[in-house]
Amino acid sequence: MESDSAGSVLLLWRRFRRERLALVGTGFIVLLVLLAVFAPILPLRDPNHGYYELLPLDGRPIAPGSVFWLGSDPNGRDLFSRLIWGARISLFIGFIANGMALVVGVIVGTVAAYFGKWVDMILMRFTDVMMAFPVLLFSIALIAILQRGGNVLVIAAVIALFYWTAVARIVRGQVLSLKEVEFIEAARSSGGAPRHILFRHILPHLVPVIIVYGTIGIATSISTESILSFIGIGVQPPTSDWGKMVSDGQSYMFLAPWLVIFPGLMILLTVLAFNLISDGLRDALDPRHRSLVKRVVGGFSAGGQALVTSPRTPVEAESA
Amino acid sequence: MTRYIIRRLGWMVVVLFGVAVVTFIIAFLVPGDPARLYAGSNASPASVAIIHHQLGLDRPVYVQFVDYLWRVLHLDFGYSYRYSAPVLPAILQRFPATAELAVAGVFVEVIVGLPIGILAATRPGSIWDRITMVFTFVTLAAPPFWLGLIFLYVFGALIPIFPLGGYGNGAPQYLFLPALTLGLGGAGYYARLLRAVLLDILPKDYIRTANAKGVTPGTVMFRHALPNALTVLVTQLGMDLGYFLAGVVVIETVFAWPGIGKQAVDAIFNLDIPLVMGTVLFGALLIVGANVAVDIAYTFIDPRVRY
Amino acid sequence: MRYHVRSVAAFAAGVMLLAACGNTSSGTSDTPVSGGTLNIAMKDDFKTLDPAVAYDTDSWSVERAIYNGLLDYQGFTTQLGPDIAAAMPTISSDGKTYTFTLRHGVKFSNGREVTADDFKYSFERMLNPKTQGPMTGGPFWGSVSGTADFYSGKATGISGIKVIDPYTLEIDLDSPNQSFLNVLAMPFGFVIPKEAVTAAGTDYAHHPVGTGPFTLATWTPGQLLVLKKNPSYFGTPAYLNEVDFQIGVDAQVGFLRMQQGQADLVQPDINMPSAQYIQLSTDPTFKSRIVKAPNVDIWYLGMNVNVKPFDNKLVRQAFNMVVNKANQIKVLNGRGVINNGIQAPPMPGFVPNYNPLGLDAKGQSLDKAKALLTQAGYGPSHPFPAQDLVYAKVNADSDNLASAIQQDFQSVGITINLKGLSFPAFLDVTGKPNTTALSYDGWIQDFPDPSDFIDPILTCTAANVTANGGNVAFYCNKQLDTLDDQARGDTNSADRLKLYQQIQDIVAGQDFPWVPMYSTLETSVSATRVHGYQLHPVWPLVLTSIWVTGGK
Repeated sequence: MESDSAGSVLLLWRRFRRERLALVGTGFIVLLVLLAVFAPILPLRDPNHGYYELLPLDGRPIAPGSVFWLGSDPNGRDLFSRLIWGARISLFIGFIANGMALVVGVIVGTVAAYFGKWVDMILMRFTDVMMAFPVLLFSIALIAILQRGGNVLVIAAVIALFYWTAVARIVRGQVLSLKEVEFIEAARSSGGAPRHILFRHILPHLVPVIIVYGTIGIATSISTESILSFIGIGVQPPTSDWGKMVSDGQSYMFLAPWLVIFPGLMILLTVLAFNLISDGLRDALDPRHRSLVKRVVGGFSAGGQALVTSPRTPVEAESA
Repeated sequence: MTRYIIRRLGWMVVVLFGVAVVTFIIAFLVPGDPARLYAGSNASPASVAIIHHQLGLDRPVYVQFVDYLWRVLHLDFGYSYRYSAPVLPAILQRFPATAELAVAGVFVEVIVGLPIGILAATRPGSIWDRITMVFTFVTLAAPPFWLGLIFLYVFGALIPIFPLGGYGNGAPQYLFLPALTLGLGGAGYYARLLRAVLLDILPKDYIRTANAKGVTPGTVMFRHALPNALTVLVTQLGMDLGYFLAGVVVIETVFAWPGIGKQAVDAIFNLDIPLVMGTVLFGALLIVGANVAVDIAYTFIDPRVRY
Repeated sequence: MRYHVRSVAAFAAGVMLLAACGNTSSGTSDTPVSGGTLNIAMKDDFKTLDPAVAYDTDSWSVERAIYNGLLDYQGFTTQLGPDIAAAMPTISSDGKTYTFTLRHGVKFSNGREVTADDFKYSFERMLNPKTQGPMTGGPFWGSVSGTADFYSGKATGISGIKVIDPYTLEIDLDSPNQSFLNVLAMPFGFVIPKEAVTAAGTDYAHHPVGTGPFTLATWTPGQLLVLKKNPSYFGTPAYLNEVDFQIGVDAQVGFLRMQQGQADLVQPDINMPSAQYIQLSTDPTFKSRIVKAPNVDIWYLGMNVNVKPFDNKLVRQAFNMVVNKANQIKVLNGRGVINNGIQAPPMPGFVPNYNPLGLDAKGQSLDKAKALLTQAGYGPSHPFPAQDLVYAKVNADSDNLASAIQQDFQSVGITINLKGLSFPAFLDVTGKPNTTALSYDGWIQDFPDPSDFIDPILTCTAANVTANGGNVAFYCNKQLDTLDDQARGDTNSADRLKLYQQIQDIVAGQDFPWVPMYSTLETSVSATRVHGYQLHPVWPLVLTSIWVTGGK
């Protein structure tokens, strides 16, 4: 069945190529990833070094200009350099959190749907419980209580802790419908081991859906991370992080508006780019749009009415 | 129908029990001794020990859990260190502000989102469709705290037509910017959702029939297509309302809106864990309640009834 | 008081500094007018208005307006004078018995007259462990006779607090204490009526009743606290009819509101945030309205002497030569002075230009620091272990100050990781023994006496705690304690100040539990309709001198 999976991904790509906006988004992300990865060897100032000697006596931040292209912060640090290095944190947490959520979500969703009965019941009730929390508030509380604000892996894990539920529901719905498909019925009735059926027959068919929702998940994770940092419990200084930079800059809004505007724009553009990509992928996945998506995405409602054409995680709902 | 409602209510109880278990576990991960936080700085070990006992922290965990459940059932959500007052009244005192903002936020989602969605759906591929597309993408992607700050900066300070945050005892001009910031992201989402659903409905037979009969396009939209599309939106809006009521953390923080979300964030920084976990529990109750309410409402507005 | 945002400005001993700093008052010479409402924007809600419990400047700002104690500071000075007491107390020749005579006719806002019984009740309630206040168990009041038995439950009352007659109160100490009158003038010594506590049940914190120039009219938690003028106040009545504290307003929004005429004062008990200070100090309307006065505070890095690697004195000495104190002050927009000692400039007995280690103008001596680290056994083959710097995040400046420290230590090859905590969490981890090695601390006076910069933060008693200690270095030197005990009872003030200078030499020139860095300059600003607003050397906010003109 590998060829089947590879084939569907290839098909996805061929259709995706025609989505112009999505390609622009992809270009932006590729550029951002390259900048982030090669930041240490690029000719940039140390993002954490304060050029105090350049600051005036009253400590006023330096405006964008020839010394600092995008200006400096109140510590005399180079904003441009900090924005580039900030991409490392955002992208890292975005990918890692989303990766964790996907792994847990796919496992839970598949196991629940495939084994059904009480396994399904318990897993889905647990999913319901996790979805019942006011996510943002709970994440903030959790990180604060753990007192691991500085650890990016903990932040990623907490984001994943709530996002996997959305993935699990999507995957469960998808697997439930796959179960009814004849060739799997056939494999089951001919006595295939569950593991064999899961890995050879079911998982490959999930790949396109995982790609689409994985992309949305990255956007969601990045915006959640920026919120956590803005609230003040994300990464620790002097690490440059976009949400934290907006938060630090807000009291300088009048004095040095660049401190707020640029990092906010970076978050906006990055999330926008991932949304464009996922939108393009979704169109590519089903040129007639909607039908597949409508079938597999349950809303929040534990009753499971398949009503929503795109998943909207609780985080988005809360922070909209 | 009745059986369905009972089943949903039963589900609600199960989920809320799970929520209580998780909340209790988290409260136990608190670093240090809650009694010490409660006693305040400079308190002697002796008085910390007294409080430790008063809070019942020296009992076995399962006893504490049963006690916790019992108290939650009696609407006793604990005692806030910061305010030296019971948690639930503290939450209820702030709740009207959050409720006001939540309802206004959902209102903005609808009032901004629906016209844009209709505009885009009736002229797919047009320049209007593209403009609304850009609008929805940008509002969905803009970080809400940043958008709020920009609004405050532009409409509160540069062109001072709205107050600079705060509650103003509920005066409408104070509500405008926070509600706009809160609803804008959702508005973009509903515009896209409505566009997609309408594009699905408009080609359907009964709409074609209506068109063929010479019914004006406006009537077709508002009498036939829109009501059917709305049933899809209503459930999602109900869910949004639940989440908003559970605490609009970011918007309340940016606009100094005295709701339960801001209170909880302040509580976190004061290590007032009972108040935080009380708010989480309270929020979960609202979310689950909204969920069940929407499910039940949905059985009444089943679209097939109107076909 | 380990409250970071505590703002206290003193000018009693700081005349020289004041000349350089400009105004301490924005008042004009106009004739005061009565009436009107003052609008104050506050960030956080008030924790409590129970004087037995509150230990933060926000609460004290309001408490000072609704309560009185036996003594208070006269006008805007550090000179103590009688308040509800009719005169200064008579003190016995051994310095252990204080006898107070109360004024007649001082009434609580509920109409009842204050008697000596009310003071005995208020003090015993404040010291009772059941009240769960911060004075329980020792600090400041431990020298009053009978407190030990009271804390342990052996006695139901404090034998050293005696009601002689309704207008006479006697307080006995076990040993003389030169700062005891200052202790009495702290808000913990405010008098409250027993019937109000009983009536409020468990929630006296929100239903305060006092004798002061204002009374609490309404308090909507998280939104608004309103004070109204008290018509039956025994002293000079306030000019203002009403004071509204608008709660939940962040500093940057608060100052914008002030510029738009919607707020008169913004968080007056804390120093102006950097951004707003820079902005308003260049604003033509407001730059002349900024009031300044040196704070009675000291900011330092505390090094836990019981924790590696700071158990090595050479390491602590080396650390004393690394911090670029000038950069710290630059981050604070120049609002501060380098301080290499342990006392604040306005404090009696302060030694100007104190520099026991011969540091340069930035407060550094990097080559010596490197040499000391080598001497302590650190070098390329045995690098110095990375350290966490624990600090409290109270505003945007906190991270910036800590980041600058990090950079300083980088220049001598030492890695510092920043660990910013909320203020309560910071107090928790730095107050426990063997928990925190290195922390960014500040000490701001409880009262203007040098003993307040030693007793609670540098003595063995303060180090010998299990939690919530103020001695973050857990530093204990018996010789210092002996000198401190001697100073506490010394009635000759010149000798006494010399003893405190000797203590400073031991700490900053010999044992190095701290890296002293700087003392700050307090800045505050008021709207144009506000007159008579002044920074008080002890109190975070004084409302009685303020009057307003013009609308709203």
